[in-house]
Amino acid sequence: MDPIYLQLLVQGLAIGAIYGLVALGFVLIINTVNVVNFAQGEFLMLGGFVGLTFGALLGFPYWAVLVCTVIVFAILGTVFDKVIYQPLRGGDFATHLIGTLAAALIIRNVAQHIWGPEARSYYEPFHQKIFDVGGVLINPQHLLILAMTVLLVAGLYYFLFRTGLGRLMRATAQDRETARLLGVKVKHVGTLTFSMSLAMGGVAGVMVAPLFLVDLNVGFIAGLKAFIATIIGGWGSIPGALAGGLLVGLVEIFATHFFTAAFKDPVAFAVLMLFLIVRPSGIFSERVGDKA
Amino acid sequence: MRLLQYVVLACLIAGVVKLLGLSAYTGSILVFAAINILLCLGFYVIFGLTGILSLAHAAFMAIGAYTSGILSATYGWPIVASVCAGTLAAALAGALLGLPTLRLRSHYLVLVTIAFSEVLRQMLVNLERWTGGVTGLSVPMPSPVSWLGVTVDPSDRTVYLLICLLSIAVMVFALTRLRQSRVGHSFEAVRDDELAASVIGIDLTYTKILAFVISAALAGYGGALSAHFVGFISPDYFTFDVTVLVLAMVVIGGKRSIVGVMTGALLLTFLPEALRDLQDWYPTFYGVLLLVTLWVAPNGIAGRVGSLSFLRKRREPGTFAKPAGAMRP
Amino acid sequence: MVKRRGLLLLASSMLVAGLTNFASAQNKEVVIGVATAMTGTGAATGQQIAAGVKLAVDEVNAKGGINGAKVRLLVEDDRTQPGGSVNAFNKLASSNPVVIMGPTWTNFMLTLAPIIKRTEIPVFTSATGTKVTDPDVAGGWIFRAAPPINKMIQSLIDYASTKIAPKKAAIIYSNDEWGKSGYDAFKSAGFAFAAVETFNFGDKDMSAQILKLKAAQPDAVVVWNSLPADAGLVTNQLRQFMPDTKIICSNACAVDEYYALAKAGGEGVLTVAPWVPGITAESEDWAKRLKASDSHAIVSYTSAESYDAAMIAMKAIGSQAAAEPAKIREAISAIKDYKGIVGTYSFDERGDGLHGGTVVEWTDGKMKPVSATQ
Repeated sequence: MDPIYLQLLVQGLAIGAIYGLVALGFVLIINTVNVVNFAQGEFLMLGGFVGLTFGALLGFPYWAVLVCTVIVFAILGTVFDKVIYQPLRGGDFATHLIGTLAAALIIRNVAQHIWGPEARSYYEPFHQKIFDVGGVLINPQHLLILAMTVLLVAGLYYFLFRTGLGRLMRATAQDRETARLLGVKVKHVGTLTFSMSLAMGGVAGVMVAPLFLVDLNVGFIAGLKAFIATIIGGWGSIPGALAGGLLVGLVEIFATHFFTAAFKDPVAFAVLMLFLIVRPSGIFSERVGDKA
Repeated sequence: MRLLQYVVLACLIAGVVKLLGLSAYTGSILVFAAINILLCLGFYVIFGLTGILSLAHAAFMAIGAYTSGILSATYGWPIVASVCAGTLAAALAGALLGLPTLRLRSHYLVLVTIAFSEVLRQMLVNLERWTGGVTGLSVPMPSPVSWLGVTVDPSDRTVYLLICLLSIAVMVFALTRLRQSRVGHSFEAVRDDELAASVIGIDLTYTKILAFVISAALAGYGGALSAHFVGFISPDYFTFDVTVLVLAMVVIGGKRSIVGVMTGALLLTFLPEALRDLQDWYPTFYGVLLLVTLWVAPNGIAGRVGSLSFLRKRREPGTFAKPAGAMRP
Repeated sequence: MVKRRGLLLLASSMLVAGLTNFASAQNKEVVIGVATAMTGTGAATGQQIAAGVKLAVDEVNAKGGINGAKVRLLVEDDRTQPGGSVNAFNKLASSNPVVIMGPTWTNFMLTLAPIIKRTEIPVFTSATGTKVTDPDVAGGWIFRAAPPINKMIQSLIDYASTKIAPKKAAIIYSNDEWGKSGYDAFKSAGFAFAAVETFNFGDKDMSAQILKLKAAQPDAVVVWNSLPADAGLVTNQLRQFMPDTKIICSNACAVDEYYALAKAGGEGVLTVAPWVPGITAESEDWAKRLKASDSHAIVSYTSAESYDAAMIAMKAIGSQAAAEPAKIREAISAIKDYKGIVGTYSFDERGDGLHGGTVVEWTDGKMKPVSATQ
């Protein structure tokens, strides 16, 4: 086999893992509060800037950057919950779409005022080093992201399906009123969800920064890809987020290889549509009950 | 209101605009507002009436704009004919998109319509020989016409505004009648409960495709109108952002009523201009205003205003209150 | 009920409409307008345009204005949207400016061209698309304070063909107006490519394309796109797979922002810069003045071009007795050998003021001019 295919496979999995990572934060919110958060991509963008601030401007070591990012985004998550989710609860898909998009606008504009419109670099922790493994070039940053994503998938799945608190959160998603009757503090479920999801998004942003650069324009495409990955992987499925992301990444890379970049998106969409025709519920079928 | 009343209202508004002698800037904004109203009316048919969230609106605008643009620029068609052709082409595309999406629900449908929009945009980029590709296409602006001794110059902003207002008048009249007709009730039935609708004998396929066709036609018409107004189009005028803007107008204004979507269109066309003084803080304020509106009125402004008590008709004692579903002007 | 509710809604929308006010110029004031991207994806460049013009206006006002009249600067945000640029331009035009500085994206200038023709105000732009100054596009009302793309590419090709003489070259360009016109310009200048790849705005992984470029084994790769951020991204990925191949880049690489992103990968990159900072004493002095006026302002060829454009415009205004746009247009066309920060301006019949760029190579973190004849 032509070694180029192996390299393409590596690249496809790498970019797919990133899509999966963003999709995870997205899927968590769907699983517990049933909202499609179109601002998820902006958290990736913001994560890069926050990481840059702690790492490059304040000089923290990498582990401290990650910890501080988690804290900052967890706090932002509670704000997001109070300001965006709670007031719009009960609205339909379109209302949430516009509401979260409005949030995305605000986040992006505020970020522009804080950090300026230019793109910046943040190459921690590997400083753009590349490894050559038997003729195939591997970027350790990609490995870090893949490891992180797999860990988060396992951890989230375990949390939501094997722990009491996770069960409470899923119960709230399936039937809020009954959960409340059973004594679940449903408001806190929302707050916890967004804190977790934003923290994941922020850390994703720090990890993706060496690859995508720290740039205000990163958010929109990331959000759209996460949305697609979620649908392909199975709406609401946690391992599906990663599986969907990987599939989208692979299809994109190979579509660019066999066609040109100009046709990459149409071909990728066509392949994904065909996939949905064959298996409409995605790779892993929907877990959240049929929400009309 | 009868059609004549709508037409007279349109002429009155245009007359007032002419009298006020507004600047090129305000005239231009008014034309954009009018075109946005037409786009929102189309979105109202598919989303507000039929309950289908299709995010392909920008694609239909592009089809209308490019068809009309190419026919008039490259083939020398008169603009009236090319705009009609653009509208028809968009309507046809609407039917084509409607067909495979009949069985899809919510987020899957959203994805397919987004995909359709992106694929179309890519085709516009690649079919360079006809569309001019990424470099764009210069579109002719209408030239003066003489009729019965009166010369009318459609490239004058007020005249163009009148054309748009007349179109709105006709469409509002038609849609009001449509909503009260059997077809309109079929649309709402599909929105409210698809299964029940098919059980009572409504042809789901026909109804949904018709909704797509009407909304796509209006989007195409709006796209063609804006192409001939600005004089230049390129594929990046028809991005997902445009569809999102129309969706925002409809959600903010109130997707369930014609007046609602018109209000949304007017508000979200004027608001960015009114906020100009905020310079580069504009997106934050715009986002905050959108959010505040959604907090106060999750069903749109029209829904909110409708619940203000002084606007409710007094009911005579002894009459039944109409069920909520039917009372939606 | 419909009528009452409808009227109330429409009335309140009209009220909002009434909030769209517009300023008008007072006596003894010259108004200069800037329509640029202050927000959106073009904000980085757009804000540089505003900064350059603002410095020029402030300096002229400090010296007493133009023939005693103060200069008033109006800035409108086009939000990096074509519809936005139409609204921004019209809003500016309603304040009767004498000159307008337009957006830097060629497509936006082409969108504005019919309106410029109708409004008949001279417009300066740093957009480099050749078509922008075509006579039939805006009837001669557009002036360019930047070298057009075909002339910049010619300088680059002259140098590359003689000094680098690649046996095989490849190109990766952005799938938009700027990238495409670069590719076409190279082709019409006779440059042949063994591999041609594109990427779309928003794409973050170009490895599939780069692998195909690598398979063609080129001696040089041309990278042609408009945003320095994307140029940096492509450079990073190119260097990952092709660490030693020569990179020839568009003027998106001729800014410090690019090198800050590409770092070591940017060393040795060949590009064409309309202006190279730090070469002359005047450039250094100007850069200091820009930073002093606004610490966030970026020193780049864009801010320098805008500064020069504003200065030229104000000089032309000053040379005329009345602030009549038609006369100002003639005055600008007549300018020859004006020494600006970026270079020496002589306006030709198309309205182009500069006719070439400086070919530079990034050396030790600075742009170093190189010459084909050395």
